[in-house]
Amino acid sequence: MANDKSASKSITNLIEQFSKLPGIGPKSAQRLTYYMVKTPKEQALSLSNAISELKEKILSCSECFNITEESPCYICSSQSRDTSTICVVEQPIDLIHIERTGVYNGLYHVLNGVISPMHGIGPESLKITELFQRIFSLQVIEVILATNPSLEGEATSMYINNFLSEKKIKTSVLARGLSIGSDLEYTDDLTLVRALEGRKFLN
Amino acid sequence: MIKNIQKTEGIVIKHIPIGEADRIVTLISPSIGKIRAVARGARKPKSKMGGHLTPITRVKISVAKTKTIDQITEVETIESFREIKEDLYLLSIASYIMELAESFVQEDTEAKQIFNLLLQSITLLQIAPNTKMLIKFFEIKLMSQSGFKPEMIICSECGIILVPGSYKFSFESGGLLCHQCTQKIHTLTNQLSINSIKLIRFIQNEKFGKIAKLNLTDDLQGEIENVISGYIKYILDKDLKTKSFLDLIAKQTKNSISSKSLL
Repeated sequence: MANDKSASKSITNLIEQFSKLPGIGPKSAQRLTYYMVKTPKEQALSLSNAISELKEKILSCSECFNITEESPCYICSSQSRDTSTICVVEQPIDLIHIERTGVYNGLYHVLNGVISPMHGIGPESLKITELFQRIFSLQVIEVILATNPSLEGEATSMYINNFLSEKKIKTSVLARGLSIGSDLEYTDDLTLVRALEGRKFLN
Repeated sequence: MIKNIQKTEGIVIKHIPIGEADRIVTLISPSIGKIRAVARGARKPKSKMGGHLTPITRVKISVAKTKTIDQITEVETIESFREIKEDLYLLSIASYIMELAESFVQEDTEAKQIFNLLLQSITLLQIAPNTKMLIKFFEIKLMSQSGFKPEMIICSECGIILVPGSYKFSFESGGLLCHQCTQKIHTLTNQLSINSIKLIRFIQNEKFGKIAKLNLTDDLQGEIENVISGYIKYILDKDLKTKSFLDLIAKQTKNSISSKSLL
Protein backbone atom coordinates (compact mmCIF):
# COMPACT_ATOMS: atom_id res chain seq x y z
CA MET A 1 0.00 0.00 0.00
CA ALA A 2 1.00 3.62 -0.51
CA ASN A 3 1.58 4.13 3.21
CA ASP A 4 3.35 0.81 3.80
CA LYS A 5 6.23 1.54 6.17
CA SER A 6 8.27 -1.41 4.90
CA ALA A 7 8.45 0.07 1.36
CA SER A 8 11.15 2.60 0.52
CA LYS A 9 10.34 6.28 0.09
CA SER A 10 10.89 6.26 -3.68
CA ILE A 11 8.50 3.32 -4.07
CA THR A 12 5.72 4.96 -2.04
CA ASN A 13 6.29 8.18 -3.98
CA LEU A 14 5.87 6.46 -7.36
CA ILE A 15 2.77 4.60 -6.12
CA GLU A 16 1.30 7.93 -5.10
CA GLN A 17 2.08 9.45 -8.50
CA PHE A 18 0.52 6.52 -10.40
CA SER A 19 -2.62 6.68 -8.21
CA LYS A 20 -3.27 10.20 -9.47
CA LEU A 21 -3.80 8.90 -13.04
CA PRO A 22 -7.38 8.37 -14.24
CA GLY A 23 -8.61 4.81 -13.82
CA ILE A 24 -5.65 3.77 -11.67
CA GLY A 25 -6.54 2.72 -8.12
CA PRO A 26 -4.08 2.05 -5.28
CA LYS A 27 -3.70 -1.65 -6.20
CA SER A 28 -2.94 -0.97 -9.87
CA ALA A 29 -0.54 1.80 -8.84
CA GLN A 30 1.28 -0.64 -6.60
CA ARG A 31 1.47 -3.27 -9.37
CA LEU A 32 2.81 -0.74 -11.90
CA THR A 33 5.42 0.49 -9.41
CA TYR A 34 6.78 -2.98 -8.65
CA TYR A 35 6.79 -3.66 -12.39
CA MET A 36 8.94 -0.55 -12.86
CA VAL A 37 11.36 -1.83 -10.17
CA LYS A 38 11.97 -4.94 -12.27
CA THR A 39 12.11 -3.06 -15.60
CA PRO A 40 15.55 -2.38 -17.17
CA LYS A 41 16.81 1.11 -16.42
CA GLU A 42 16.75 2.25 -20.09
CA GLN A 43 13.08 1.36 -20.47
CA ALA A 44 12.12 3.20 -17.30
CA LEU A 45 14.13 6.24 -18.32
CA SER A 46 12.63 6.32 -21.78
CA LEU A 47 9.17 6.44 -20.17
CA SER A 48 10.18 9.29 -17.88
CA ASN A 49 11.82 11.13 -20.82
CA ALA A 50 8.72 10.68 -22.95
CA ILE A 51 6.60 12.26 -20.21
CA SER A 52 8.92 15.25 -19.71
CA GLU A 53 9.25 15.75 -23.48
CA LEU A 54 5.46 15.75 -23.75
CA LYS A 55 5.12 18.44 -21.11
CA GLU A 56 7.91 20.54 -22.61
CA LYS A 57 6.90 20.39 -26.27
CA ILE A 58 3.13 20.11 -26.31
CA LEU A 59 1.13 23.32 -26.38
CA SER A 60 -2.32 24.50 -27.35
CA CYS A 61 -2.76 25.85 -30.92
CA SER A 62 -3.44 29.59 -30.75
CA GLU A 63 -6.07 29.27 -33.51
CA CYS A 64 -8.05 26.06 -32.98
CA PHE A 65 -6.90 25.02 -29.46
CA ASN A 66 -5.88 21.58 -30.64
CA ILE A 67 -2.83 20.11 -28.89
CA THR A 68 0.26 20.56 -31.02
CA GLU A 69 4.02 20.96 -30.98
CA GLU A 70 3.91 24.10 -33.12
CA SER A 71 1.43 26.92 -32.94
CA PRO A 72 -0.51 27.41 -35.22
CA CYS A 73 -0.89 23.64 -35.68
CA TYR A 74 -0.30 21.84 -39.01
CA ILE A 75 -4.02 22.01 -39.89
CA CYS A 76 -4.42 25.75 -39.22
CA SER A 77 -1.20 26.60 -41.11
CA SER A 78 -1.90 24.27 -44.08
CA GLN A 79 -2.55 25.95 -47.45
CA SER A 80 -4.61 23.05 -48.78
CA ARG A 81 -7.36 23.14 -46.13
CA ASP A 82 -10.76 24.62 -46.88
CA THR A 83 -11.00 27.68 -44.62
CA SER A 84 -14.69 28.23 -45.32
CA THR A 85 -15.71 25.30 -43.09
CA ILE A 86 -15.03 24.84 -39.39
CA CYS A 87 -15.76 21.62 -37.54
CA VAL A 88 -16.39 22.21 -33.83
CA VAL A 89 -15.37 19.38 -31.48
CA GLU A 90 -15.34 18.93 -27.71
CA GLN A 91 -11.85 17.50 -27.20
CA PRO A 92 -8.58 17.15 -29.18
CA ILE A 93 -9.17 13.38 -29.28
CA ASP A 94 -12.40 13.95 -31.27
CA LEU A 95 -10.42 15.91 -33.86
CA ILE A 96 -8.01 12.99 -34.27
CA HIS A 97 -10.91 10.59 -34.88
CA ILE A 98 -12.54 12.81 -37.52
CA GLU A 99 -9.19 13.48 -39.16
CA ARG A 100 -8.55 9.73 -39.36
CA THR A 101 -11.64 9.24 -41.56
CA GLY A 102 -9.90 11.29 -44.28
CA VAL A 103 -13.17 12.71 -45.64
CA TYR A 104 -13.01 16.15 -44.08
CA ASN A 105 -10.70 18.87 -45.38
CA GLY A 106 -11.80 21.98 -43.48
CA LEU A 107 -10.58 23.56 -40.26
CA TYR A 108 -11.34 22.54 -36.68
CA HIS A 109 -12.10 24.28 -33.42
CA VAL A 110 -11.64 22.52 -30.08
CA LEU A 111 -13.98 23.80 -27.34
CA ASN A 112 -12.14 22.03 -24.52
CA GLY A 113 -15.34 20.80 -22.91
CA VAL A 114 -19.11 21.09 -23.10
CA ILE A 115 -21.79 23.19 -21.44
CA SER A 116 -22.92 21.24 -18.38
CA PRO A 117 -25.15 23.31 -16.08
CA MET A 118 -25.39 20.48 -13.53
CA HIS A 119 -21.61 20.59 -13.11
CA GLY A 120 -21.39 24.37 -13.18
CA ILE A 121 -19.77 24.58 -16.65
CA GLY A 122 -21.22 27.47 -18.63
CA PRO A 123 -20.33 28.84 -22.10
CA GLU A 124 -17.80 31.24 -20.54
CA SER A 125 -15.64 28.27 -19.44
CA LEU A 126 -15.23 27.07 -23.06
CA LYS A 127 -13.50 28.46 -26.17
CA ILE A 128 -16.79 29.71 -27.63
CA THR A 129 -15.97 33.44 -27.86
CA GLU A 130 -12.75 32.50 -29.67
CA LEU A 131 -14.81 30.34 -32.06
CA PHE A 132 -17.12 33.24 -32.95
CA GLN A 133 -14.13 35.54 -33.51
CA ARG A 134 -12.54 32.99 -35.86
CA ILE A 135 -15.78 32.45 -37.78
CA PHE A 136 -16.06 36.16 -38.54
CA SER A 137 -12.39 36.79 -39.29
CA LEU A 138 -12.13 33.76 -41.62
CA GLN A 139 -15.53 34.47 -43.24
CA VAL A 140 -16.63 30.90 -42.66
CA ILE A 141 -19.60 29.64 -44.68
CA GLU A 142 -20.46 26.46 -42.77
CA VAL A 143 -19.94 25.45 -39.15
CA ILE A 144 -20.20 21.71 -38.49
CA LEU A 145 -21.19 21.08 -34.87
CA ALA A 146 -19.53 17.74 -34.06
CA THR A 147 -20.19 17.64 -30.33
CA ASN A 148 -21.20 14.32 -28.77
CA PRO A 149 -24.88 13.35 -29.07
CA SER A 150 -25.20 13.62 -25.29
CA LEU A 151 -27.44 16.10 -23.50
CA GLU A 152 -24.45 18.33 -22.72
CA GLY A 153 -23.06 18.07 -26.26
CA GLU A 154 -26.41 18.98 -27.76
CA ALA A 155 -26.88 21.88 -25.35
CA THR A 156 -23.51 23.22 -26.48
CA SER A 157 -24.47 22.86 -30.15
CA MET A 158 -27.80 24.59 -29.51
CA TYR A 159 -26.06 27.46 -27.76
CA ILE A 160 -23.63 27.99 -30.66
CA ASN A 161 -26.38 27.51 -33.23
CA ASN A 162 -28.65 30.10 -31.55
CA PHE A 163 -25.93 32.69 -31.90
CA LEU A 164 -24.85 31.79 -35.44
CA SER A 165 -28.35 31.50 -36.89
CA GLU A 166 -29.00 35.11 -35.85
CA LYS A 167 -25.85 36.06 -37.77
CA LYS A 168 -27.09 34.04 -40.78
CA ILE A 169 -24.20 31.59 -40.70
CA LYS A 170 -24.99 28.07 -41.87
CA THR A 171 -24.63 25.35 -39.22
CA SER A 172 -24.91 21.59 -39.49
CA VAL A 173 -24.71 18.65 -37.08
CA LEU A 174 -23.43 15.12 -37.54
CA ALA A 175 -26.19 12.58 -38.29
CA ARG A 176 -27.87 11.11 -35.21
CA GLY A 177 -29.18 7.56 -35.05
CA LEU A 178 -28.11 3.95 -34.81
CA SER A 179 -24.45 3.08 -34.60
CA ILE A 180 -23.11 0.26 -36.78
CA GLY A 181 -23.40 -3.10 -34.99
CA SER A 182 -25.93 -1.85 -32.43
CA ASP A 183 -29.19 -3.56 -31.50
CA LEU A 184 -32.55 -1.97 -32.38
CA GLU A 185 -34.18 -3.78 -29.45
CA TYR A 186 -32.03 -2.01 -26.87
CA THR A 187 -32.02 1.41 -28.50
CA ASP A 188 -33.59 4.26 -26.54
CA ASP A 189 -36.60 6.16 -27.92
CA LEU A 190 -34.80 9.42 -28.66
CA THR A 191 -32.11 7.71 -30.74
CA LEU A 192 -34.81 5.83 -32.67
CA VAL A 193 -36.72 9.05 -33.33
CA ARG A 194 -33.56 10.68 -34.65
CA ALA A 195 -32.76 7.61 -36.74
CA LEU A 196 -36.23 7.71 -38.31
CA GLU A 197 -36.03 11.44 -38.94
CA GLY A 198 -32.62 11.09 -40.53
CA ARG A 199 -33.48 8.05 -42.68
CA LYS A 200 -32.06 7.88 -46.20
CA PHE A 201 -33.82 6.80 -49.37
CA LEU A 202 -32.11 3.89 -51.04
CA ASN A 203 -33.44 4.44 -54.55
CA MET B 1 -21.12 -9.51 -3.88
CA ILE B 2 -24.60 -8.59 -5.05
CA LYS B 3 -27.08 -8.75 -2.14
CA ASN B 4 -30.42 -7.73 -3.58
CA ILE B 5 -31.97 -5.96 -6.53
CA GLN B 6 -34.41 -3.10 -6.18
CA LYS B 7 -36.74 -2.20 -9.00
CA THR B 8 -38.10 1.31 -9.13
CA GLU B 9 -38.71 4.18 -11.46
CA GLY B 10 -36.70 7.37 -11.44
CA ILE B 11 -35.72 10.57 -13.20
CA VAL B 12 -32.10 10.80 -14.31
CA ILE B 13 -30.56 13.94 -12.86
CA LYS B 14 -26.91 13.82 -13.94
CA HIS B 15 -24.00 11.53 -14.67
CA ILE B 16 -20.24 11.65 -14.53
CA PRO B 17 -17.79 9.45 -16.44
CA ILE B 18 -15.70 7.05 -14.43
CA GLY B 19 -13.04 4.53 -15.45
CA GLU B 20 -12.69 3.37 -19.04
CA ALA B 21 -16.35 3.19 -20.10
CA ASP B 22 -18.53 3.50 -16.98
CA ARG B 23 -20.78 6.20 -15.62
CA ILE B 24 -21.95 7.16 -12.16
CA VAL B 25 -25.57 8.17 -12.51
CA THR B 26 -27.70 10.15 -10.06
CA LEU B 27 -31.48 9.65 -10.12
CA ILE B 28 -34.44 10.65 -7.99
CA SER B 29 -36.88 7.84 -7.27
CA PRO B 30 -40.19 7.85 -5.37
CA SER B 31 -39.43 4.78 -3.26
CA ILE B 32 -35.76 5.18 -2.23
CA GLY B 33 -35.08 8.87 -2.81
CA LYS B 34 -31.76 9.74 -4.35
CA ILE B 35 -29.97 6.89 -6.14
CA ARG B 36 -26.29 7.10 -6.97
CA ALA B 37 -25.20 4.06 -8.88
CA VAL B 38 -22.66 2.95 -11.44
CA ALA B 39 -23.69 1.90 -14.95
CA ARG B 40 -20.98 -0.42 -16.22
CA GLY B 41 -20.00 0.09 -19.85
CA ALA B 42 -22.60 2.86 -20.33
CA ARG B 43 -20.18 4.95 -22.41
CA LYS B 44 -19.55 2.23 -24.98
CA PRO B 45 -21.37 2.79 -28.29
CA LYS B 46 -23.00 -0.64 -28.07
CA SER B 47 -24.13 -0.18 -24.48
CA LYS B 48 -27.70 -1.25 -23.77
CA MET B 49 -27.97 1.34 -21.01
CA GLY B 50 -26.14 4.44 -22.22
CA GLY B 51 -28.94 6.07 -24.21
CA HIS B 52 -31.52 5.51 -21.48
CA LEU B 53 -29.41 7.14 -18.78
CA THR B 54 -29.46 10.65 -20.22
CA PRO B 55 -30.38 13.43 -17.80
CA ILE B 56 -34.06 14.50 -17.89
CA THR B 57 -35.28 11.00 -18.71
CA ARG B 58 -37.91 9.06 -16.77
CA VAL B 59 -36.82 5.45 -16.54
CA LYS B 60 -37.65 2.06 -15.09
CA ILE B 61 -34.54 0.85 -13.37
CA SER B 62 -33.09 -2.14 -11.49
CA VAL B 63 -30.39 -1.36 -8.97
CA ALA B 64 -28.24 -4.00 -7.29
CA LYS B 65 -27.13 -3.17 -3.77
CA THR B 66 -23.46 -3.97 -3.31
CA LYS B 67 -21.01 -3.40 -0.47
CA THR B 68 -19.56 -0.38 -2.24
CA ILE B 69 -21.46 1.69 -4.81
CA ASP B 70 -24.80 0.39 -6.11
CA GLN B 71 -24.90 -0.97 -9.64
CA ILE B 72 -27.50 -0.42 -12.34
CA THR B 73 -28.37 -3.76 -13.90
CA GLU B 74 -31.28 -2.83 -16.18
CA VAL B 75 -32.80 0.37 -17.46
CA GLU B 76 -35.63 1.25 -19.80
CA THR B 77 -36.99 4.65 -20.84
CA ILE B 78 -40.56 5.55 -19.84
CA GLU B 79 -40.41 9.11 -21.18
CA SER B 80 -37.54 11.00 -22.74
CA PHE B 81 -38.94 14.61 -22.66
CA ARG B 82 -37.70 15.35 -26.14
CA GLU B 83 -39.17 18.86 -26.36
CA ILE B 84 -37.07 19.94 -23.37
CA LYS B 85 -33.86 18.44 -24.70
CA GLU B 86 -34.27 20.26 -27.99
CA ASP B 87 -34.82 23.73 -26.56
CA LEU B 88 -31.97 25.41 -24.70
CA TYR B 89 -34.24 27.60 -22.57
CA LEU B 90 -36.43 24.70 -21.42
CA LEU B 91 -33.27 22.65 -20.84
CA SER B 92 -31.81 25.34 -18.60
CA ILE B 93 -35.05 25.43 -16.55
CA ALA B 94 -35.17 21.64 -16.27
CA SER B 95 -31.52 21.56 -15.15
CA TYR B 96 -32.29 24.13 -12.46
CA ILE B 97 -35.35 22.39 -11.04
CA MET B 98 -33.57 19.03 -11.11
CA GLU B 99 -30.57 20.38 -9.19
CA LEU B 100 -32.95 22.00 -6.73
CA ALA B 101 -34.91 18.76 -6.25
CA GLU B 102 -31.68 16.80 -5.80
CA SER B 103 -30.56 19.18 -3.06
CA PHE B 104 -33.69 18.39 -1.03
CA VAL B 105 -33.75 14.60 -1.50
CA GLN B 106 -31.77 12.14 0.63
CA GLU B 107 -30.52 8.66 -0.25
CA ASP B 108 -32.52 5.64 1.01
CA THR B 109 -35.44 7.83 2.06
CA GLU B 110 -38.87 7.81 0.44
CA ALA B 111 -39.40 10.90 -1.73
CA LYS B 112 -42.73 10.24 -3.38
CA GLN B 113 -44.06 13.80 -3.06
CA ILE B 114 -40.91 15.46 -4.41
CA PHE B 115 -40.64 12.89 -7.21
CA ASN B 116 -44.25 13.57 -8.24
CA LEU B 117 -43.70 17.33 -8.09
CA LEU B 118 -40.57 17.03 -10.23
CA LEU B 119 -42.29 14.78 -12.73
CA GLN B 120 -45.32 17.07 -12.90
CA SER B 121 -43.13 20.15 -13.40
CA ILE B 122 -40.98 18.58 -16.13
CA THR B 123 -44.10 17.32 -17.90
CA LEU B 124 -45.69 20.78 -17.65
CA LEU B 125 -42.49 22.40 -18.87
CA GLN B 126 -43.04 20.80 -22.26
CA ILE B 127 -46.43 22.44 -22.68
CA ALA B 128 -46.61 25.32 -20.21
CA PRO B 129 -46.50 28.71 -21.87
CA ASN B 130 -45.80 30.42 -18.52
CA THR B 131 -42.37 28.99 -17.69
CA LYS B 132 -41.50 31.76 -15.21
CA MET B 133 -44.51 30.89 -13.06
CA LEU B 134 -43.66 27.20 -13.39
CA ILE B 135 -40.27 27.84 -11.79
CA LYS B 136 -41.89 29.74 -8.90
CA PHE B 137 -44.54 27.03 -8.55
CA PHE B 138 -41.83 24.36 -8.29
CA GLU B 139 -39.66 26.31 -5.83
CA ILE B 140 -42.51 27.18 -3.46
CA LYS B 141 -44.15 23.72 -3.54
CA LEU B 142 -40.76 22.02 -3.08
CA MET B 143 -40.02 24.07 0.03
CA SER B 144 -43.45 23.26 1.47
CA GLN B 145 -42.95 19.54 0.85
CA SER B 146 -39.46 19.60 2.38
CA GLY B 147 -40.57 21.21 5.64
CA PHE B 148 -39.47 24.76 4.76
CA LYS B 149 -42.87 26.21 3.82
CA PRO B 150 -42.55 29.99 3.91
CA GLU B 151 -44.86 31.22 6.70
CA MET B 152 -47.10 33.86 5.12
CA ILE B 153 -50.16 33.93 7.40
CA ILE B 154 -48.81 34.52 10.89
CA CYS B 155 -45.64 36.13 12.25
CA SER B 156 -42.99 33.41 12.11
CA GLU B 157 -41.56 34.58 15.46
CA CYS B 158 -44.47 35.48 17.80
CA GLY B 159 -47.30 33.79 15.95
CA ILE B 160 -49.82 36.65 15.78
CA ILE B 161 -52.05 36.70 12.73
CA LEU B 162 -50.88 39.34 10.25
CA VAL B 163 -53.39 41.89 8.99
CA PRO B 164 -53.11 42.67 5.25
CA GLY B 165 -50.09 44.89 4.59
CA SER B 166 -46.42 44.95 3.70
CA TYR B 167 -44.04 42.92 5.90
CA LYS B 168 -40.44 41.81 6.09
CA PHE B 169 -39.50 38.20 5.34
CA SER B 170 -36.86 36.63 7.57
CA PHE B 171 -34.75 33.79 6.11
CA GLU B 172 -33.79 32.60 9.58
CA SER B 173 -37.36 32.42 10.88
CA GLY B 174 -38.63 31.08 7.55
CA GLY B 175 -41.45 33.54 7.09
CA LEU B 176 -42.93 36.98 7.59
CA LEU B 177 -42.26 39.05 10.71
CA CYS B 178 -44.78 41.37 12.35
CA HIS B 179 -43.70 44.99 12.76
CA GLN B 180 -42.80 44.47 16.43
CA CYS B 181 -40.66 41.40 15.80
CA THR B 182 -38.94 43.20 12.90
CA GLN B 183 -37.70 45.78 15.42
CA LYS B 184 -36.44 43.12 17.84
CA ILE B 185 -34.86 40.61 15.46
CA HIS B 186 -31.84 41.48 13.35
CA THR B 187 -31.65 38.79 10.68
CA LEU B 188 -31.48 38.80 6.89
CA THR B 189 -34.79 40.21 5.70
CA ASN B 190 -36.47 41.35 2.51
CA GLN B 191 -39.40 43.72 2.34
CA LEU B 192 -42.44 42.18 0.67
CA SER B 193 -45.35 44.18 -0.72
CA ILE B 194 -48.93 43.15 -0.07
CA ASN B 195 -49.20 41.85 -3.65
CA SER B 196 -46.11 39.64 -3.32
CA ILE B 197 -47.42 38.19 -0.05
CA LYS B 198 -50.78 37.45 -1.66
CA LEU B 199 -49.07 35.87 -4.64
CA ILE B 200 -46.88 33.52 -2.58
CA ARG B 201 -49.95 32.45 -0.57
CA PHE B 202 -51.81 31.86 -3.83
CA ILE B 203 -49.00 29.67 -5.22
CA GLN B 204 -48.83 27.71 -1.95
CA ASN B 205 -52.51 26.84 -2.10
CA GLU B 206 -53.39 26.54 -5.78
CA LYS B 207 -52.79 24.09 -8.59
CA PHE B 208 -50.62 25.08 -11.54
CA GLY B 209 -53.60 25.44 -13.89
CA LYS B 210 -54.69 28.58 -12.02
CA ILE B 211 -51.16 29.85 -11.34
CA ALA B 212 -50.22 29.65 -15.04
CA LYS B 213 -52.86 32.25 -15.85
CA LEU B 214 -51.07 34.92 -13.83
CA ASN B 215 -49.05 37.51 -15.68
CA LEU B 216 -46.70 39.38 -13.35
CA THR B 217 -45.18 42.82 -13.64
CA ASP B 218 -41.39 42.95 -13.68
CA ASP B 219 -41.38 44.59 -10.23
CA LEU B 220 -43.49 41.87 -8.65
CA GLN B 221 -41.49 39.18 -10.43
CA GLY B 222 -38.22 40.68 -9.10
CA GLU B 223 -39.52 41.00 -5.54
CA ILE B 224 -40.61 37.38 -5.33
CA GLU B 225 -37.45 36.19 -7.07
CA ASN B 226 -35.29 37.95 -4.45
CA VAL B 227 -37.11 36.44 -1.51
CA ILE B 228 -37.47 32.90 -2.84
CA SER B 229 -33.92 32.64 -4.24
CA GLY B 230 -32.51 34.18 -1.07
CA TYR B 231 -34.48 31.79 1.12
CA ILE B 232 -33.37 28.75 -0.94
CA LYS B 233 -29.76 29.89 -0.74
CA TYR B 234 -30.12 30.35 3.03
CA ILE B 235 -31.59 26.83 3.48
CA LEU B 236 -29.06 25.07 1.24
CA ASP B 237 -26.13 27.28 2.27
CA LYS B 238 -24.77 27.19 -1.30
CA ASP B 239 -25.29 28.67 -4.75
CA LEU B 240 -26.95 26.36 -7.24
CA LYS B 241 -24.65 25.65 -10.20
CA THR B 242 -27.48 25.73 -12.71
CA LYS B 243 -28.87 29.12 -11.64
CA SER B 244 -26.31 31.29 -13.44
CA PHE B 245 -26.82 29.26 -16.65
CA LEU B 246 -30.59 29.65 -16.37
CA ASP B 247 -30.23 33.42 -15.88
CA LEU B 248 -27.87 33.68 -18.88
CA ILE B 249 -30.13 31.71 -21.23
CA ALA B 250 -33.28 33.49 -19.98
CA LYS B 251 -31.65 36.83 -20.79
CA GLN B 252 -30.56 35.67 -24.24
CA THR B 253 -33.94 34.09 -24.99
CA LYS B 254 -35.64 37.39 -24.21
CA ASN B 255 -33.55 39.08 -26.89
CA SER B 256 -33.61 36.26 -29.39
CA ILE B 257 -36.31 35.28 -31.86
CA SER B 258 -36.20 31.62 -30.92
CA SER B 259 -34.13 29.25 -28.83
CA LYS B 260 -35.27 26.18 -30.76
CA SER B 261 -32.59 23.88 -32.03
CA LEU B 262 -32.07 22.71 -35.56
CA LEU B 263 -30.97 19.31 -34.33
